[in-house]
Amino acid sequence: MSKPVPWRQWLWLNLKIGALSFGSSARLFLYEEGVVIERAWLGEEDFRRIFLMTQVLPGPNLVNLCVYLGFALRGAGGALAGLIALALPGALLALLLVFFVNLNQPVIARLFEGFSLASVALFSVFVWRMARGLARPQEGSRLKTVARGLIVLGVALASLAALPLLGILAVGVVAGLVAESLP
Amino acid sequence: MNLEWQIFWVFFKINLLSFGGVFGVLPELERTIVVEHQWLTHERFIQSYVVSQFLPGPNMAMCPLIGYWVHGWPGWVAGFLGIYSGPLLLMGLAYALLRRYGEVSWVKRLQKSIEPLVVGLVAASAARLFWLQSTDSLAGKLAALAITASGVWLHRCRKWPSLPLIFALGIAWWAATAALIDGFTFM
Repeated sequence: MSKPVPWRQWLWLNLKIGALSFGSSARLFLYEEGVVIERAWLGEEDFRRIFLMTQVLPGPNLVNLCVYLGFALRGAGGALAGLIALALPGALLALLLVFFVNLNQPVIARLFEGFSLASVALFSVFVWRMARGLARPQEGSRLKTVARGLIVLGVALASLAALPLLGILAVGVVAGLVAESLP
Repeated sequence: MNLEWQIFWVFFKINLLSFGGVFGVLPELERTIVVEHQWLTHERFIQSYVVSQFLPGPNMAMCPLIGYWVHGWPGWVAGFLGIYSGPLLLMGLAYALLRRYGEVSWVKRLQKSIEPLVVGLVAASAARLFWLQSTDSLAGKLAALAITASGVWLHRCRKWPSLPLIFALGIAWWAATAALIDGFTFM
């Protein structure tokens, strides 16, 4: 980052995600869109490193990503302000919803199901980009790429089969280290 | 310990146990809140989860709501601070450590090694979200697949921006399900 990221734009991005985005963790891609694709505050590779790290540490993953990006782009104040802009709208809306809206109405339920499915669609595009990044021809042989691909597949299946997460993490890290040591 | 601190502490602890979203910690959160502290009934707890599915932003927004139900506005504040202060501390620590040691070769190597692991986990969570959000019948699954695929196409090939796309598909899905799955039972 050569020049500091403008406060207003950083807060606005978080507020937009905090107040207008539906569809649970499928929302993660919105940060890539806001930070890398639209504004080029971070390079693809930097974002990738940050994203990966925030996802293996414990905590809500969208919040982790927001806070870490805040630290990286604007320091501790940026992290705090970004977090508040991201989290406050939902926390207040929760109260409005329980006070005023009947959520069992089929119309509303369907609308939100649709929001979630659309987010899943955008999220899969994002996951695909992340997966494509694993096949870097400049570093290492095809064998290494295949090994990485197999780990992705194995981890995804293990996670879908609801195997214990800590086990998956442990095996995944070890397998990753082995794959990286391939030629 | 007074109630505010108890609420704060319950959510702060949940943070440290949660990997990859709210689904993983839901059982533990329920055990703590419904069984251990008996702050809410099981039905009320489920309701808080349902509400959180309707909210924009992080899906932990159910935590301040639970706090509110338990102890009014002070509870809301305790829930908010409890769930969100953890990431602030942990990410701050991670940021400081990586700035200091990020260029050390084994740290870089470790970061590279976890890549396939994380990609696998997020891919699984995408699949799981799809499965949870689509209706149980076969027609429902196919319709959901069609709307998801059209979302991918609109985004990748037609360059639709994300938020308008989400709203447009939400409305399309409501219309399609009203016609095909719910059998024209409007309202």
